Parts: sequence; C-alpha cells; structure tokens
Amino acid sequence: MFDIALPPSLILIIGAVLLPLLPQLWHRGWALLLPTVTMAVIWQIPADVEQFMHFAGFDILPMTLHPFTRIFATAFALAAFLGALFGAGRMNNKELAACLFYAGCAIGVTFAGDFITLFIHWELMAIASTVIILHGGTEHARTAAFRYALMHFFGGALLLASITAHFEATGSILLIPFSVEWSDWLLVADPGLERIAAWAILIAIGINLAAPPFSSWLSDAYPAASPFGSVFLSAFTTKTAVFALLTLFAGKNLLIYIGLFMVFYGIIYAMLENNIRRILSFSIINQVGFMVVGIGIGTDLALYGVAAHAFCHIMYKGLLFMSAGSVVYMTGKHTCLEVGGLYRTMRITCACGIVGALAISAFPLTSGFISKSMIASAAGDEQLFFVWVALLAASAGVFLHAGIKFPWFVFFHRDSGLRPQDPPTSMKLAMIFTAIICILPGIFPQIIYAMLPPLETALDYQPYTPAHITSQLQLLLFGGLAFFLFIRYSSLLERKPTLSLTFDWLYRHNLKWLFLMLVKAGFGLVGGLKAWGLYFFRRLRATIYHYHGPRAILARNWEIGHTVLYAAGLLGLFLIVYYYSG
Amino acid sequence: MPTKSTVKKPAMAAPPATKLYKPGQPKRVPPIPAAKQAGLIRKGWIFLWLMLAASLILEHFAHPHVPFEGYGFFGIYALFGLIACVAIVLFSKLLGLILMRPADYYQNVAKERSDV
Repeated sequence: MFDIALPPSLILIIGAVLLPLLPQLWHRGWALLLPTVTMAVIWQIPADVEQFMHFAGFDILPMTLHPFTRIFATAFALAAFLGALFGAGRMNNKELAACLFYAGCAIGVTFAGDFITLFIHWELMAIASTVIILHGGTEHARTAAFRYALMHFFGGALLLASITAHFEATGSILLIPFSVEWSDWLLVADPGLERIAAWAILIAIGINLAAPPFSSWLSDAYPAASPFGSVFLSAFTTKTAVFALLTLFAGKNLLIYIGLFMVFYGIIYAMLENNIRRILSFSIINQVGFMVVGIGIGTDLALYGVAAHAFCHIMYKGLLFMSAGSVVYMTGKHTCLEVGGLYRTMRITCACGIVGALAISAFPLTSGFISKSMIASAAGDEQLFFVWVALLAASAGVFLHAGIKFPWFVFFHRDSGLRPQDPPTSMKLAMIFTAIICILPGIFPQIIYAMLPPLETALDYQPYTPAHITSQLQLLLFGGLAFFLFIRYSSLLERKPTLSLTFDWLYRHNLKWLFLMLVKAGFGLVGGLKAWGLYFFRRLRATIYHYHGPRAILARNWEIGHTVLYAAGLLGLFLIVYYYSG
Repeated sequence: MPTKSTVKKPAMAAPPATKLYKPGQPKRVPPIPAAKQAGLIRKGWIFLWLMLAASLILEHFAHPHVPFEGYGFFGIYALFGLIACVAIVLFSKLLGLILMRPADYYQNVAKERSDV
C-alpha cells in the first residue's frame, strides 16, 4: 500500500504518543507490543535500503543501515521490551509514554543517515529522558532533572550549531565518518571551519557520552529517577552517543585517552559511593569508557568488540538496574548503608543481581566475557602496552566495584533487619528474561557475532580458549581476594553516608554562589539607582517648587500699576529710538 | 491584614512520588545466630581459597597468553589482579579524602549561600 516504508523508530514514537489515549487496561500489552513490532520491522529492512525525504529544503535519510545499526537497534528494542515488562503497570501513563518515546528516539538515531535526522531524535531523547527523571517525584529528582535538562539542551544547541558549521564548510549533511586526520586535529595550525565543526560535534557527542568534564549529569540524574525509569535511562542516552561516535569518529587516537579517563573515573567514584543506583551509574561511565577506548583503537576487531560490548552492556546494566530497582521498590531504601542481608528473602532478585554482576565483570560463560575481551585483545594486537595494561587493571576494577561491591553490600554483608519479599511477578519475569539474555551469548557467542556486519576476511577471534579462561579467572578471583581481605582486615571499604564531589561541584556549588552574588549585586545596583533617582527627582521638585510654588518669586501676583509703568517705559524707549533713527 | 504568600513556586512541578509496593506481611525470618554466621563466613573463605588454588592449578594445563614479550611468567594475571585491586582501593580512598563530603552537602550549601 505504501511506497515508502516508515522508519521503525516511528512505531515506538507514535505508539507512545497514543498510549495515554488508550484504556488503562491495555497499557501493559501495548507497551510490550510496540517494541516487539519494532524489533520485527528492524530485521525486515533490506540491507541496501536508501530512502530520501524532503525536509526544510534538504534531502534527509531517516532510514539508513550503517554497519552497526542493526545490533544497536536490536539492543534498544530489546531493552524497551524488558523495561516495559519490568515497569509497565507500575509507572503512570506519562512516565511509561515518555519511556517508550525515549526508546523510539534512540532507535531513530541508529537509523539516521544524516545530521538533521540525528539532531531531531537527539533532542527528543533529551526531552523524554528529562520527563522520566522528573517522575522520580522527589525534590532531588526535580532539581536533578533541571540540571540534566540544562546540560543536554546545551549539548543539543552545540550540536545544531556545529551541524550548521559542518554544512557550511562541506556542503553535506550526510552522516559519514569524518575524514580529518589526527595531525589535522590541531586547531592552531589552520583553524578551518570544517575542523572546528568536527571538534564541536565531538564535544556535543561527548556530553551525551558522559565524557569528562561533562560526566556528572549521569550519576546525578539516573539514581533520582523512579526504580522503573532508571532501567530505561541506563540503556539509551550514552549508547546512542557510542553509536554516533562509532559512526563518525572511529580510529581517532584521542578517544583512547578520553576512554581510559572515563574507565578509571567510573571505578574510583563507584568505590567511594554509597547510593546503590549511583554505584551502577558510575559503572555505566566506566563501561562506556571501555567502548570509547575501542573506538579510539579503531581496528576491525576493536570496533566489532565495541558494538558487541554495547549490546551486552545494555542487557546486563538493565539487569543490574532492575535488581537495584527491585530493592529500592520493595524496601524504600536507596543506600548500601541501609540495606544488607537481603539474600534470605529476595532470592530471585539476589540471583539475578549476581548474574548481572558476573556479566559486567566478564566472567566466563557470561556475555561480558565474549565482548569486553575483544577490545582488550585489539589493544594487545596493536601493541599498545599501556592501554592494554590499563584495560586489564580496569577489568579487575570493574569486578571490584560492580561485580562484588554492589551484590555484597546489598544482599549479604550485615543483616539490616529488613525482610522484604521478592518483587511482583512481572518484575521477577523481566529480571529472569534479562538474566537469560546475559548468559546465553556467553555460552553461544555466535548469537552476538551474527548480528555484526559480515567482514570480507572473517575475524580471527576465539573467546573460549583455555588460556583466556585461565587468565580471566585468575585476574578476577585475585581481585576478589583483595576486596575480601580489605573487608576483613580494614575498615577502608566500610560504607559511609557521604557523597563525592565531581565536575558538577563547579556549577552546583560555585556557579550557584556566583549567580546568587550577581543577583545580590544586581539588586544592589538597582536599589542604588533607584535611591539616586529618587534623590534627583526630589531635588528637581524642590527647585521647581522654590521658583514656581504658590509663594515663589515667579508665581507671585503682580499689581496692574507696575505693568502699565513697564509698558509706558518700553513705549517711551521705542519713541526715542524711532525719532533718532528716522 | 492579608500578606503576600512567600511560598516559592518551583520552576518545574514534580509529579507525586511512585508509590512503594506494600507487601501484606514482611517475611518472618529470624536473624542468623552468631555461631552459624561465623561458620558461614569460614565456609565462604574456604571456598574462595579453593577457587584461587584451582585457578592457579589451571595454569599448568593452559598457560595464559600475554601479547607482550617478557611478561609470560607464572601467575602474572593473578599477581596483576591482586595488585591492581589493592592499588585501586588505596588510590580511590586517597582521592576520597579530598572529594568526600557529608551526604547533605549541597542542601547545606544552598542554605548557607542563600543569605550571602
């Protein structure tokens, strides 16, 4: 019937808008149906699809298959399905609609063939996610949503400006890799518009990527959302940014260093953190850092590893957020300090949380094992010694903060006296499904590798070699030994009710103070001006009164005789002048 | 005399908080006695040491591959994992001395600063 097929993202976007109009009873079914249909459509699209649409004088491509579109879009649709299974029926209409809309926009980004489509979906995502954070319902959620919105709208404005500059410089809005070479990246030599645009686009993507110094919005906003909203939030924004980076900036060496910074930033802050979901938020930054390093390395193995890792990461991070969300939902407690010993009554939540924790630590037989090691292997193949060592240390660090710290303090450690049950059936089902998706690719890696685009020469990569299993087990188990030795013999890892300052200190503390000072100064200035103005007008009025007031000299009643005398004098003067001049 | 309301309207109105699930009765599970707890902990440690030993024994059958020359000695990954984790913990706690603040830090800052 239709000549043009619609982009799959529209199914979720339009469906989400229609959701509040449907009867309440249909919401859960509708929320599960939309991602399923989207997933089916994603796999129906032929590989050579090319579709132009006219928009504002441009030919835009809303449906393009980049090499990694399919694996990212599949992961997003799957995350939307599992998130809906977990939360639909417990979120209110607006939050559920915002979640599905958000997922649709994320899928839209993966199909964008041009910068305009990318930008539109990018901005809609920022709006939808702000709505989700706002539904956390607390005062902190309100302020965090405001900070989140400010950060992302700034990023959106920067993206739009840089797209305009890019179009001005190159005359093209197509989403193709930047051809600027590393040596050209130094702006000082020749700050051409094309290079400035490339840098600005990198910064705009970096904001969504939670790259330093824009990383604080993530750990600020995600834990503030509702337990269901944060499952959705954990999946989309950073991973669409990874997708954009993978499409535009693959192989730029600078990214290796940015990525390594993010990896260790995430680990160190997660080690200091006490809030359950904030530990996991820092761990998102850490995992995205791994992907950014892979994009920076830029070989086929690294890029394929990044795509595979993004897929696995979306799944196990969703699972960890579901597990943490269940604890928050059932106990109402948000910090490690308040919970502990929950394994006895929340058995399924605990088991699923442990599966997620093992997957994020890349234990053998989990999905993380087959994907994360591809990035490290790529660093080894390229003989990047320090990168390889740092990634190895980071792998052990991930096990430390997300693999042990999260489940240990939440489900074991000391008995907190809380006896919550496992969450309701739909939430348990969602967790079990996600746990299965975290384990299956670990046993059958072909599932993930089949979603990656075919290469001319097959990748020579085998995750399951005895050597790899041994080395990974040694690395992780001895890392675990360090953790438990610290727990037993020192109080260094003891939980404390603290927060750690991060980049947002600059604007939450100082900018706010500066702003308040400016406001005060402004009011002072206005007050001063007002006082001076009043003084001036009082003086003016007094002066006028002095001369023109009822008894003033210029307002006096002059007698008629004086006037006649003056007039006669003037006439006499006139006569004299007239006689002598004539 | 009627005065102006001093309640500030928030810029964005927050919707009500998600209602928490209220289970009818919390599960009645008594705390584990101290003696049993100690036994569990000892079993956990024994399990951990056994796993560590197993991972080292495994190395005799499959020698781990290091892509750089000169680092392929016995137990390299085990040593590296232990050292890396100790270093990460110590380094993060050191940074924590500078970075850690009380949990209500930003609320207090807001209060202090509002009457500059």
